[in-house]
Amino acid sequence: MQFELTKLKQAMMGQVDRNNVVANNLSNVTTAGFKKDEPFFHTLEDELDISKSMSQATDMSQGDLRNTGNPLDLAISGDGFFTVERGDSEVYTRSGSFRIDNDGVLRTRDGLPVLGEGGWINVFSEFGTPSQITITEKGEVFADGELMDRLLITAFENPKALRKAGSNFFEAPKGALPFEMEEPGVKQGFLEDSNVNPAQEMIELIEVQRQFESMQRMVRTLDDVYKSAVNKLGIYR
Amino acid sequence: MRALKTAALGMTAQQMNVDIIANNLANVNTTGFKKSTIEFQDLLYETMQTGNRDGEKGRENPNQLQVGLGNRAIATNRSFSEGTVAETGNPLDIAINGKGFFQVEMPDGTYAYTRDGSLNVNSEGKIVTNSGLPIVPDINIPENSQSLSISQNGVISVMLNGEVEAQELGQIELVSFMNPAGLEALGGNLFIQTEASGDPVYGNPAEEGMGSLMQGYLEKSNVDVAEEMINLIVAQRAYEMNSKAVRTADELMSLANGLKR
Repeated sequence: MQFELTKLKQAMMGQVDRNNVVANNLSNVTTAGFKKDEPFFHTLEDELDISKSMSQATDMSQGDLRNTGNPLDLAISGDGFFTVERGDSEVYTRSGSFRIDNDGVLRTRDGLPVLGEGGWINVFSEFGTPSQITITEKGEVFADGELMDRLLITAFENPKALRKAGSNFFEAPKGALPFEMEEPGVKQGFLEDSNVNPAQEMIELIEVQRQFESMQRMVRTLDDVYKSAVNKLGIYR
Repeated sequence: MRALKTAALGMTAQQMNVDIIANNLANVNTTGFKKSTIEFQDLLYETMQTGNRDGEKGRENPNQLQVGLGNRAIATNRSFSEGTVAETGNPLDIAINGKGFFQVEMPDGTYAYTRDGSLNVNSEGKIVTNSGLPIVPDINIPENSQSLSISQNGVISVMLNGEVEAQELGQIELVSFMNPAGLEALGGNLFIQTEASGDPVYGNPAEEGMGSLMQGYLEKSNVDVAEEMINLIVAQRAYEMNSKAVRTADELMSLANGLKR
């Protein structure tokens, strides 16, 4: 009997975690480049050796592209991520809202340098500030018509292994198998919207609440059973 | 209950979104106004369980559990698309038909940039903006001038009293930016350069990329009311959805409370 209670506890905690994941999706319903998390449950093994009964997988499907008209807003249509240098490692993002610093280096909104094939991308020529920046579908960066560098667009053979690192970034642990995309679909003047589907999240919320409720009932029923066991069976006559 | 705080952050973000939309709508008739949109970023993720592919035999667990903690606003992005141009007939109203900006001198000697071309002549004969800031380079209008004309490439000429030939006074200079979206708004239709916008590039009107001048016209705001209304609906619904997440978290806690009788 103890065993049943533990299982129910695990299941209830799982629903609480699921609620947290759904709340984060809803919170990011307007975050550019955000990829939603899908909660799912495993069957518990008899030994209950997994500490959590719930896991999450990131849904990498494409979000809608929104036209902003700003030359430094980039979106990727199809696979691939912008590659960004953070500390001594690389992180990846689908949110292409970039800017250019005083020295001409292309950076993310948090000030991290965006990587091209030749390292940091600098758009200043010997003549100083360019008046126009054009980025082609293949990711080639032109400043006043002069090719400066090509954006490094990384795709993964195993994108499921990617981990979220916050600030719209993904980290690639070993096993994600990154490779450089030859023909990416970079769109200048666009941003990718979040791929959260509000209707689906609402349904998740309803499910969370009702399943939690039914498990709460089961705990109470078990409680009743224990009560009668203690009060009726245990009475010595 | 992380969900409570996560959803509350989502609500705060949407509130800020509504603030931006409200400002756009308030400026729907402001000359030279440029609309903004807001951008968000997700926050930290708490990794509660990491995927384990090469663990002990029989205990492989490829699944991970990362719970995000909400979002925050990181930037407002200004759209510098051109607004509609309206005829005013006033000789000192100028619209820029392109991506250039007028340069004005602030009282502290620094420069600011504007698309608002409703100009005036002050008591010293200088051409100034509506708020009295002189445009750069200085152009002085003689007292006895009669009609004033501004050509497409910014050359200002006047007809003096009693003369038959027009006299050229100077040329208006424009500046453009590599990334105008990075300009910082000062209020009063003025912008200043930032790291993100890049340094100003100087040029004359009608030169490449600057745009020609149109005398007797003003550029209206580029706010599209229908678009803002749609954004408002999205923001309101997103706010509501987040409040539902708060309610669900609340219900879960209430149910948990009901466990023990």
